[in-house]
Amino acid sequence: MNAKIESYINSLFLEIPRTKKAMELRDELMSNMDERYEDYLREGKNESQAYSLTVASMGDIDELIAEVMPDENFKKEAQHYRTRNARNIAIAVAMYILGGAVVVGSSIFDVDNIMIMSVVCLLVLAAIATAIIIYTNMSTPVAYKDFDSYELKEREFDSTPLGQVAKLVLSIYWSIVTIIYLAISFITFSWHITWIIWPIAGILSGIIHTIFQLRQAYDK
Amino acid sequence: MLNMSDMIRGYTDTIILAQLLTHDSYGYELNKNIHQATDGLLELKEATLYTTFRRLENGGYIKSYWGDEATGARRRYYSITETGRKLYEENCLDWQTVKKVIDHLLLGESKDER
Repeated sequence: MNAKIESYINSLFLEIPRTKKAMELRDELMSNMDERYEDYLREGKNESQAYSLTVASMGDIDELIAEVMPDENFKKEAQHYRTRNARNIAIAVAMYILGGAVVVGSSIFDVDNIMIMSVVCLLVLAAIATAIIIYTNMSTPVAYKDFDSYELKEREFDSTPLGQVAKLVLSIYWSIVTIIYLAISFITFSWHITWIIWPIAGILSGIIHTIFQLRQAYDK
Repeated sequence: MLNMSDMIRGYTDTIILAQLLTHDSYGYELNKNIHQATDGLLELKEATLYTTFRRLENGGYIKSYWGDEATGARRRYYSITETGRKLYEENCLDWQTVKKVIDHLLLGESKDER
C-alpha cells in the first residue's frame, strides 16, 4: 500500500464520523486507488505523476462522501447513547461523592471500627462507579463517539460571538474573585477558611459557562 | 472535445451492469475494462463509479462482498442479481429505440429508406 495514497484518502475521511458505511467506502477507495497508482507506475510514470493522475481520477469526491454522512436514524441513535452516557456518568459521580460523604460522616459517630467500615464502603462504591464508567465508555460504538466530537467541532462554542463574550465575562469574573479573596482574607485574617472561596468560585464559573452555552443552543 | 461523460450519463448504470454480466468485478478493474474496451475514449470518474454502485446496490440490482486478499487492502467485489439482469435487458431494448430515434432525427436515415 502506497503511503501517499493512503494518507490522501485518509485525509478525505478525517472529518467524517466513522460509520460502517464510511469506513467501507474508504477501504474500497483505498484498494482501488492503490491499484491504479501501481498501474501508472508500471506504465512508466514517475511517482509524482502517478500520484497526481490518481488523485485527478477521483473527480468530485464530496458528493460521494455526502452519501455516507450520518442520516436521521443515525443521529437518533447517537442521541440515545448520549443521553444514556450522561445519565450513567452522573450516577457514577454521585457514587464517588456519596463514598466520600460516608467517610467524612462516619467520623461523627464514636463506634469501633467505623472508619474501616466506611472506607470499605467508599471502595465498594468507587468500584461500582468505575465499572459503570468503563462499561458506558466501552459499550458506545466508536462511530457515535466520533459523531459527538464531530458535532462539537461543528459549533466550536469558544469561536462564536457569544463564546467570546463568555470568555470576557469569565476573565473579569476571575479577577473579581481574586480581589474578593484577598480583601476578605486581609480583613478577617481567617486564611485557614477563606480558601473555600476558590472551589465555590470554580463551581460558579462552570455554571456561568453553561448558561452561555445554553443560550447559544436556544438561539439556534 | 467529445465529452463522453455528459453523453453517456443516462447509461452509466447499464454500462456497469453489462460489465458484470460475465463475471464479478471490483471498482478499478471494472473501470479499466471500460477504458480498454473503448480505446481510452471513456473512463468513469471514481465518484461517478461509486455513486452508481451504491444506487444499484440499494435498488437490489447488484450485490457486493469483500474479497479475501492475502496482501494489501480489501477489495469490494460486485455481482449482478437477477433483477439486475432484467434491468440490463430492458435498458438494452430502450437503447435500441433511442438509437433509432436519434439516427432518424440527426441523419434522417430511416426516412430515406422508405
